[in-house]
Amino acid sequence: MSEIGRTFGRRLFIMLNLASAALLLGHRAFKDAMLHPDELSISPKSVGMFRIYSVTSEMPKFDPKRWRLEVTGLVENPLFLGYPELLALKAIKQVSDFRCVTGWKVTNVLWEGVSVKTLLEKCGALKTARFVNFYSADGEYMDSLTLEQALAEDTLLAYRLKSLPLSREQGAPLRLVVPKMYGYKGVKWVNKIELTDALTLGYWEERGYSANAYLR
Amino acid sequence: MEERVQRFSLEERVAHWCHAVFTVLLLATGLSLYLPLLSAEIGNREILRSIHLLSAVGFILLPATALFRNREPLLKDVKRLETWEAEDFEWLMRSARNLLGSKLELPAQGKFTVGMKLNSVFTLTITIWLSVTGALILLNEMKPLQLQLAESAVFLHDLITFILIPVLLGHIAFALLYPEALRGMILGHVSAEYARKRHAKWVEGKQSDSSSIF
Repeated sequence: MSEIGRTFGRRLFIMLNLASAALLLGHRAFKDAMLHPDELSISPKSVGMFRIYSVTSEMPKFDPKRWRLEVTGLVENPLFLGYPELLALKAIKQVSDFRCVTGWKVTNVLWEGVSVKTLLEKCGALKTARFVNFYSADGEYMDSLTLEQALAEDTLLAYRLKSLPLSREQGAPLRLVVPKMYGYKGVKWVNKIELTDALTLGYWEERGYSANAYLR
Repeated sequence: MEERVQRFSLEERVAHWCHAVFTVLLLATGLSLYLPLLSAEIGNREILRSIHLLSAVGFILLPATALFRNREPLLKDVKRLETWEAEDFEWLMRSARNLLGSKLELPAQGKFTVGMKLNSVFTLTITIWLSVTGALILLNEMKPLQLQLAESAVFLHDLITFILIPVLLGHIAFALLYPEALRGMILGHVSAEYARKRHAKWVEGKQSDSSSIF
C-alpha cells in the first residue's frame, strides 16, 4: 500500500479543515476585495436578508383603527396616539446598517418614521427621568435605552421599511431602530413607551445579553 | 440459523445514534431559527434556542463519552476509515465511469466502502466546524466579538449546514437502500451473505477470527 493511500483519509480531513479555517478567517476579506467602494457610494444598495425573530408563538396583529401608542411614566403630559396621529408627526428618513448580535447584517436599510426625540419633546420628560423603556405588543418583549441614547438624532421609531409600511414580521406598525446598537435593542410591535428613573433589563439582557448593546 | 457477522460495538452504535438524533434536532431547531418563513410561523425563539444549545452539547459529548468507554474497536475502525487501498481508488474511478454509462465491475470493498470513508471525513469535519462556529456565535451573543469574526462565523455555520443537508439525505437514502447495513448499525451485526457481497475483503480478513462470525 502506498504512503498516500495509508493516510489518504487523514489528508482529506486535514485539507477540508484547512479550507474551513480559511473560509472563517478569509471570507470577509474576500468579500471586501470583491466590492468596489466607488460603486457602493454612488448607488447604495441594501444587501442581506432579514431573519425574523419573535419570542412568542404568535406575532401581534395590527389593526389601524384600534392601535394606540402610549407614552407614559415620568412625563409632564402622557401621550396616547392613534396610527393617523403618529403618521401626522414630522417624519424622517434614515439609511443605516442593521446588525444582529447573532452575526448577520443587512446593509443600507432605508427606514422612515418618527424620531424618539420628537415624541419625547411632545410629552416633556421630567427631570427625574433617566431611562426609556420600549414595550412590544406581544406582551413579552421589551428593552430600554438611557434618556440620552433615546434622544440621539438617529434613534427612530420606524413605520416604513424600504419605502413600504412595516410588515407584520418586521414589527408592524412600529419598531425601534438604534443604528449604533445590535438589533436586539430594536423592539418590534412597539405600543408602549415608559420613562423611568431606574434601569429595567430587556428581554435578552435578563438572559445574559449585555445591556450595553453598542456595536464593537 | 442464519450466519451473522459482528460489525459494530455497542459503544459505536450508541455514539452513532446519539449523534444522529442530535443532528436532526439541531437541524430542525436551526432551520426554525434561521429561515424567515419558519421562524415567523413558529416564534418562541428562546425555547428553540435553548433546545438548539442543549442539542449541541449532546451532539458532541454523548458520542465522545460512548466512544471513550471502549476505544479499541473505534481506533481499529478509524484506521480502516483513513486507509485507502489501491482498490478504493479503482472503485472511485470505475464508479465515475459507470455514472457516465460504462458497466464496469467494482473491486471488492473492505469493512467500509469508499462512500462510507468519504462520509466519515465530511461528518467529522462538519461536526468540528459547526461546533467551533456555533461556539463563536454564542460567545458573540454574550460578549460581542470583533464584528468581522462574528460575521464569518455565522456565514460558515450557515454554509456548513446547507452542505450537511444533502450529505445527510444521501446517508439516509443509502441506509434505506441497504436495509442490512441499517440493521448492522442497530443490532451490531449483519448477515454473512450481505457482508460477503458488500464487504468481501473485510470478511476474508475475518475468517481467522471465529469469534466475530456466529
